[in-house]
Amino acid sequence: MKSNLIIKYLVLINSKIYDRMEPYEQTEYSDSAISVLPPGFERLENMVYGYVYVKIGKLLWLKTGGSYSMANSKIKMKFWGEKGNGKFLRCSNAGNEVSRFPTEVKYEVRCSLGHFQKYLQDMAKLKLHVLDSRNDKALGTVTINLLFFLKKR
Amino acid sequence: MYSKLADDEVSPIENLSGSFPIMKLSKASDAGNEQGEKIGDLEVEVQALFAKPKKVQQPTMPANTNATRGMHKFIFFPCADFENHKLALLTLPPSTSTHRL
Repeated sequence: MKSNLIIKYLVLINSKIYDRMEPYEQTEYSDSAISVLPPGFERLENMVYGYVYVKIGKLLWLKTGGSYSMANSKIKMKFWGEKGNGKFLRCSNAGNEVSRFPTEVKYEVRCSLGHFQKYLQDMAKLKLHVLDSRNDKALGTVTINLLFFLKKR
Repeated sequence: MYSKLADDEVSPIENLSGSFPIMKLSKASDAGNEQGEKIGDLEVEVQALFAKPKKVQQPTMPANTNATRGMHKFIFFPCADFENHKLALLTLPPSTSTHRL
């Protein structure tokens, strides 16, 4: 009898804890959600200071050894602090196998220009991974050193 | 801060924009190694568009400044019963006060 009461009490406590927990946000890890920079500023919906566009052009292989081909190549881009797997893109000369991925991605910047520049300085490098879309195996990496392009304001 | 930015409200930021026409594609196993084996090239373009700074409109004086400058005449009409009215308010008995609870 006493043990039954304890179990009921524990169930009641657990149900209250679950009631207080925030619901799972599906959009947090969804690719269809609006891309926001810097990561963590998603809740500031009315604060859009600007946009960042990243566009992928042609992919040119020099060494095509192995079984992979350019048609199956997709590009994974993830900014520093970005949740999830990042964004998947394709190069403009990719094949139909990866046509569902865009060649350009747009980010909303929800902080001031000065803060965004500091964020990029802290990030320092933006890495793009070229993957084989069939098995997500990493084939190559492109590193953009942003510090070379950021000028002092 | 802006809720929505139209195309004509943004302008490219030179120091945050760049076209990196040919970026070195390093072998995956050499990731992180700046001197890694080059296996290809990738065209990448990054552009940042930020809101144009809005000019603050300075308040301008109207053309006919004489209308706003100079002394304005205000005419005060003396209240003949002001003193008596004041006295009457002060001498009101507490029972007739409307603010009494």
